[in-house]
Amino acid sequence: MQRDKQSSNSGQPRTDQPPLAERARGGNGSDFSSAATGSLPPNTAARDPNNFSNFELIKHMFQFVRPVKWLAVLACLLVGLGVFLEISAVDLTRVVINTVGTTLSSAGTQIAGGTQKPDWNAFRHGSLHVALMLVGMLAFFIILSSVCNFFRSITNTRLSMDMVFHMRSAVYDQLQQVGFSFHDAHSSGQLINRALSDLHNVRFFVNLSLVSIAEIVGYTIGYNILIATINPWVGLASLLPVPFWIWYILRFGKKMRPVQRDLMATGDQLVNVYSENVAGVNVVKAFATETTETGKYNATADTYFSQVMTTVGMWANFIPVIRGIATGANLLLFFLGAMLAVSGKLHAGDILVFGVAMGAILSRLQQINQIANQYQMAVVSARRFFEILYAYPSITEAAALPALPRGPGAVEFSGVSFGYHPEKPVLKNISFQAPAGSVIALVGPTGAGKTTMMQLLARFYDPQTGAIFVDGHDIRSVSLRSVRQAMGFVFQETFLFSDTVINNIRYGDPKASVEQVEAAARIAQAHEFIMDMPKQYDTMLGERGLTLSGGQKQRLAIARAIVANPRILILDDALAAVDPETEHLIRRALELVLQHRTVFIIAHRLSTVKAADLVLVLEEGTITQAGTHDALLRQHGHYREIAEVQLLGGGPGVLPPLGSTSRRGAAEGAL
Amino acid sequence: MKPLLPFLRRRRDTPKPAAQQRAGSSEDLSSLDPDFEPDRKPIERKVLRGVLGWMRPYRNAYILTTVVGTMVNLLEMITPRYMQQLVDTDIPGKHPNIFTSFIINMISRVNVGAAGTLAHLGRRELAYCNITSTIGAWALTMTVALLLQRFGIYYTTLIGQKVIFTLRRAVFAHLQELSMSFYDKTRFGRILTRGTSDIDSMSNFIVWGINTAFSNLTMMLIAATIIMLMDWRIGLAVLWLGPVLYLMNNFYRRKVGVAWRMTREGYTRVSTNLAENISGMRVVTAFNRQNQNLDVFNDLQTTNTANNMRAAYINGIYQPLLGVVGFLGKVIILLFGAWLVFHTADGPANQRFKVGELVALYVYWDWFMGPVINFGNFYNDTMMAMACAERVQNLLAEKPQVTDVPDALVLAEIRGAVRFEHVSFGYDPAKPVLHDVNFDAQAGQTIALVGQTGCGKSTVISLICRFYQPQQGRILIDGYDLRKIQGESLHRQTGIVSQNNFLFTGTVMDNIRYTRPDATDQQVYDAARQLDCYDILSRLKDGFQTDVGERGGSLSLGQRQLVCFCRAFLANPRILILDEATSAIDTQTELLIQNALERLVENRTTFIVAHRLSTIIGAHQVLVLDQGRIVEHGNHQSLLERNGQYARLYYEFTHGHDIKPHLAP
Repeated sequence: MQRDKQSSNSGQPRTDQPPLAERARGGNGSDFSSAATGSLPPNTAARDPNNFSNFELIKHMFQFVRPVKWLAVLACLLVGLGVFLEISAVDLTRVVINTVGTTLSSAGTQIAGGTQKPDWNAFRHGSLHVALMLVGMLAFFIILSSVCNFFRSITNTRLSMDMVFHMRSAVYDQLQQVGFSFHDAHSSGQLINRALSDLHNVRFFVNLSLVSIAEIVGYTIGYNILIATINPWVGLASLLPVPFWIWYILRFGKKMRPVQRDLMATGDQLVNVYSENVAGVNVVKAFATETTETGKYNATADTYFSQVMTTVGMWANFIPVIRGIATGANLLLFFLGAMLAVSGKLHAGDILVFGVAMGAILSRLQQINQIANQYQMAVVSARRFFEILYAYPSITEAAALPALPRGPGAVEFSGVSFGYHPEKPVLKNISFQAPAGSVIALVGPTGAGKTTMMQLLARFYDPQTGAIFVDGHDIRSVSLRSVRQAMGFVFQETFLFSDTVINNIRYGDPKASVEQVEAAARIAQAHEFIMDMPKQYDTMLGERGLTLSGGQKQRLAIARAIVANPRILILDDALAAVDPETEHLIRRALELVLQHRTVFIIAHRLSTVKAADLVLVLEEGTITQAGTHDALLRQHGHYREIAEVQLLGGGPGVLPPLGSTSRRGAAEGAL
Repeated sequence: MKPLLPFLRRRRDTPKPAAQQRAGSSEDLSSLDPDFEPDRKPIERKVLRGVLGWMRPYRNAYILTTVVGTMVNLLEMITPRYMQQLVDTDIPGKHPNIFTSFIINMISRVNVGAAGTLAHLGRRELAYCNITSTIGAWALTMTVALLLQRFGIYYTTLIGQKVIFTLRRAVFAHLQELSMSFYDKTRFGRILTRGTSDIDSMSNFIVWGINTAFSNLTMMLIAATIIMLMDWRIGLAVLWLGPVLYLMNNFYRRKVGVAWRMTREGYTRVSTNLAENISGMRVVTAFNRQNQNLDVFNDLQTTNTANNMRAAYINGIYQPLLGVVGFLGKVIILLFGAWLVFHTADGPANQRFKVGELVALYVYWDWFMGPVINFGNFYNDTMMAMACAERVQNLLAEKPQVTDVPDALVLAEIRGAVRFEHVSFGYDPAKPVLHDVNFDAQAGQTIALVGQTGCGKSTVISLICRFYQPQQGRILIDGYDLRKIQGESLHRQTGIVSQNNFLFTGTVMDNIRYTRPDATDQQVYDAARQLDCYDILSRLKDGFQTDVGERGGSLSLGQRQLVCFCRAFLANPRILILDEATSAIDTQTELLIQNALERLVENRTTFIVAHRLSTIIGAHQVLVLDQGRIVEHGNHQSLLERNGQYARLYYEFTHGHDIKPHLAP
C-alpha cells in the first residue's frame, strides 16, 4: 500500500503532504454526505498543534495534570510541609549552638565580672539540660521531616506514574483509532519515538515544573524568611546574589542551546553512520569500501569530539563562575554575620545557618536551568506528541450502527473514486461485482491502486465518491467492527507479533481451539515447518525468538486469516515470498476450505491469477480489463503483455493466438 | 541537610554533556533492545585492567588532573576552619588571629609605625580586623580553588573524551575487519549498542572514575583525621557511624537494585508492546483487536506502576533513614561538643573547647559522610561501566573468521572465471548447507542459480564473495585459490545487488558514487544513460540530487533498484552478483529494469539468483540447487529437455497448477 501511494504521489516525499488536520478532513470524504461519516468538529485549525503558540502549548501540556490534580495539590502541600520542617530543624540547630555560645559567654561575663566563685557544676547541669531538650526537639523535627519526605516521594512517584499512565493510554488508543491515513503519513519508527520519548519529555517537563517550582518557591521564601527573622539586613543581603545568579544561568542556557543542538545533531549523525554501516554491511563488504566508511566515521567523530569539547569548555567556564557567585554570596553573609556577632547582635549558630541557607537557596535556583532546558525539549516534543493526540480519525462512525448481517460475502463496488489526497485520485470510478464465493484476481502495475481498492473494502479509508456494498449493505451503514470481522486480510508486508506461534495464529480469533489453529496451519502449509521448530506451536517468534523466512511468515499470516473465519479473504500479494510449489499447495488447500467464501488475490504471478473466476486488470486507477484468464489472454492489453513477459521463452503454443499482434520472441527478451 | 559546599554532590552534575545527551537517547534504544543484557557486573580484574589499558596512553595526564582535583578538595576543606575563626571572634578575643597577625607582620616590615597602631587596636576593632582578614583569606583560597577547578574540569574531560573517541574509532575499525559470519550470528541491535550506548555508559567512568575515587577517598580520610586531631573524644564518638552507614547503604542499594531491575523490565514490556502495536497497526485494525490490545497495554502499565511504586517505597523508607543515621552523628557532635564546651570553660585557656570548634566539627562531619554515602553511587556507576566495558572488550576480542594469509596474493585486474571444486560448507560446520558443489563459470558468463528457498543459493554467493570460507574443497578465481587471495583486492572487483537494495543516507548521486567517490557527475550521468535509467532518475523530485531518505525510504522499490544498478555499474566489477534483485518488483517495472540489467551484465561474470524465469532464460548456465546440492546443470533449453526439477518449476510458473507431463518445443 505504501508503494501504491507513493507512486500515486509520483515519488514526492511525504513532507509535501498538507498538514494533518487538512488531510484528515480530506480522508473523511467531505464532499459526500453519508450517515456514516461523522461531522467534523468546527475548529479544526485550532487543534492543529503546529499553530499553537508556546503558551497554548504549555496550557495543553498541563491538561495532563487534570486527572491527577488532587495528587498534584497533595504533592505541593507536602513540599510546603517538608520545607517548613527542614527549616525548623535548621533553625533549631541554630538555637542549640546559640544557646551553647550565649550561655557560655554570659557565664564568662559572670565569671569575669563576679567576685564570688561561680557554681560551674550547677551551671553546666542547667545548660546541658537546655541543650538536651533542644536536641531532643531537633531529633523530633528530623524524624517528622523524614516521614514527610517519605510521603512526598511516594506521592511524587504516584503522581508521575498516574500521569504517564493516562498519557500512554490515550496515545495508544488514539493510534489504534486514528486510521490508516495517519499511519501512512508517519513511519512507525517516528510514531514509536513520539509515543515513548516525546511523551516522556512532555511528562517530565510537566512533572518537573510542578514539583520544582513548588520547591524553588518554598525553599527560597522559607530560608529568606528564616534569615530575615534572624536579621532583616542580612536577609536583604542574601537576596542580593539571586538576580545575578538567575541572569547568569539563563544566559548560559541561551548560549548553550544552539551548541547543544549541534552536538546532538552530530551525535545522531555519528550513530547514523555507524548503524548504516552495520545495516549495509553486505554492500560495504561486497564493494570493499571499508576504508571509505572508516574515513566517513572518523570525520564525523572528529566533528563530534570538537563539539563535545566546546560544550565542555563552556561548562568548565560556567561552573566556577556559578560557584564563585555562590561563594561570594556566602562570604558576604558570613562577613555581615561575623561583624554583627562582634557587637553581640548575632551568634555562632546564626552564622552557621547563613551558610546552610545560602547553599539550599542557590542549589534550588540551579534547577531553573534544568527547567529551562527541559522546557525547550518539551515544546518541540509537545508539538509532535499533540500531532498524534489531536489528529482526527480518518474514519468516523456514527454512534450505534447495526452490525453487518450474516451473508455469503458478495461484494460490489459502485462508482468508487478515492485518493489519499482528494486532488490526486488513485482510484477512478471503479465499479464491479464479485459474486459470493468467487475468486477475484487483481492484476496491474505497481501504483495502479490494487491495494488501495482492498483497503477501501475493509474500510481502512472511505472513498470520496461512490459506495461499496457487502451482501447488499453499504459498508458505511454498518458498524466498522462488523465489516472488519467479515474480512480476513493478509497483507503485503507480513507482520507477526513477538509471541508464540499459536498466539500469532490465534490473533485472528482469540477463542480458536488448538485443533482449529492446527487445521489453519495445515491449510497454509505451515504445519510442517512449525512442527520442526524447537517448541512447535509454543515457539516464540520475533526479535526475542525465532526468525522466520519471508515465505514462512506469509504462511503464518495466511493461517491467521483463516482462523478468523472471514467471509471475504483478501490476499494482498501474500504469496510473493512463497516458492511456486508451496504456493500451489496452499491454493489447493485453500480451495477446499474457502468454497463458500469470496477471495481477492493481488498477485504478479500469472500462475496465481490463472485460476481466478474473474481477473480485474487495474491501470492507473481504472479497471482496463476484466474477464477470465483465458479470455484476457485473447485480448490486446496489459494482461497479455505481462503474460508475454512472464511466459517468455515458452515458445509458440504457450499463448493463445491473437490476431496480428506482434510478439516479442524468446531470444529478443532474453538476457 | 546539605553540606555547606556540597561540591561532592554537585560533582555528579559536572559536565558530561556528551555522555548525558547520548545516554538519554540510547537508554531508550537499549530498553527496546529485546536482549536483556546485564546492565551491571561485579568488577572483574580482567575487565578493569582492560579499561585501565585504554587509559594508559594518558597516564601522566590522568595523574595530573587527579592531583589537581585533590588539591581543589583540600583547599575547599579549609572552609570549616575559616568558619571556626569567624565564630570564635564573637567571643571578643584579645589576640589577633593568624590572618591578622600575618597582615600585621607584613605591614610591620614596611611601616613599623602603622603596625604599632594596629597592635594597639581596641578589642572590637581587632575583631573587625580578624573578620575581614579571615574573609579575605577565605576568598583567596576559593578563588584559587575555583580556578584550579576550571582547569580540572576541562582537562579531565578532554583526556577522558580522547580515550572514549579512540575507543569509538577502534570499535568501528574493528567492525570493518570482522567477517560476515559475525554479522550473521549477532543481532543488529547488539552491534549497534556496542559502538553507541555501551561506550556512552562507560564515558562517565572513563572521564571521572579515577578522579572521583581518589579525591573522595582522600577527602574522607582527611576529614576523619581532622576530626580526630581536633578532638579525639568526639572523633571516637562519631566515626564509628561511618562503617555502619556504609553497610546500611549497601543493603539499601541491593534492595533498590532489585526493584529497579523489575521497573526496567516492566517498562521494557510497556515500550515493546507499544512499539509492536504501532508497527503492526494494520494487522491490529484488520483483526479488530483495538479494545483487547488496550486492555493488555493497560495491564502492563498497571504492573509498571506497581513496580515503580515498590521502588518508591524502598527509596522512601531508606533515604530518610540514611539521613536520620547521618544526622545521629550531628546530634552526637552537638551534644558531646556542648558538654565539652561547658566542661572546659573553666579550664586553662589553651585547653578550652570553643564554640567555633564545635561548628567546624559539625561541618567536617558532612565532608566525612559525603563520600561514604556517595560511594554506593560510585560503585554502581562502576559496575555499569564494567558491564559495558566487558561487552565492548568481547567485541574487540572477536576475531575475523576470514583473514588474509600472511603472503596473500594481491589480485591485479581479473578476468572473472569462477570455479567451485568439491565445495562443502555449513555456517555451523556440523550442519553443512552445501555438499560437494562443483561448477565452472567462464569469464563473462551469466550463471543463474535456481531452487527453493533455503537450498543454498545465497550461500554459494557468499562463498564467491569470500564472506565465508568453505570447510572442504576450494574456490578458484581465474585459477587462484580464494584462500590465498588478499580479500580487498578481490572485493574491489566484485559487486552485489541484493534484494534489500540498501541505500545510504544522502542523495541519489552520492549513492551511485558510493564505490567511486572520485567519479565526476558526468561519469554518473553516463552510467545512468548506459543503463537506460537516466530519464527516470532525473525525473525524481530533485533529479540526481534527490535525498533518498533513511535507507532509501523516499524512493520506490523500483527506483531504489535502479540506483543500486547504477552503483554497481559505476563500480564496474568483474564479478557481479544479483541476489533476488528483482523479486520485489512488478512485471512492468521489471521490464524497465530488464534493459538496464542486460547492459549491466555485459562483459562480466554475473551470478543471478532469482525466482523469475525471465531473468534466467538467457543465462549461459543454470544451476539448479536442492538441499545444498547441484541437482541439475545446463542452460534453459537443455534443462527443459531433461524434464527434471527445472522443467517442473518452469511449468508450474508458466501454467499455474496444471503441471504438464512433457514440454513445449
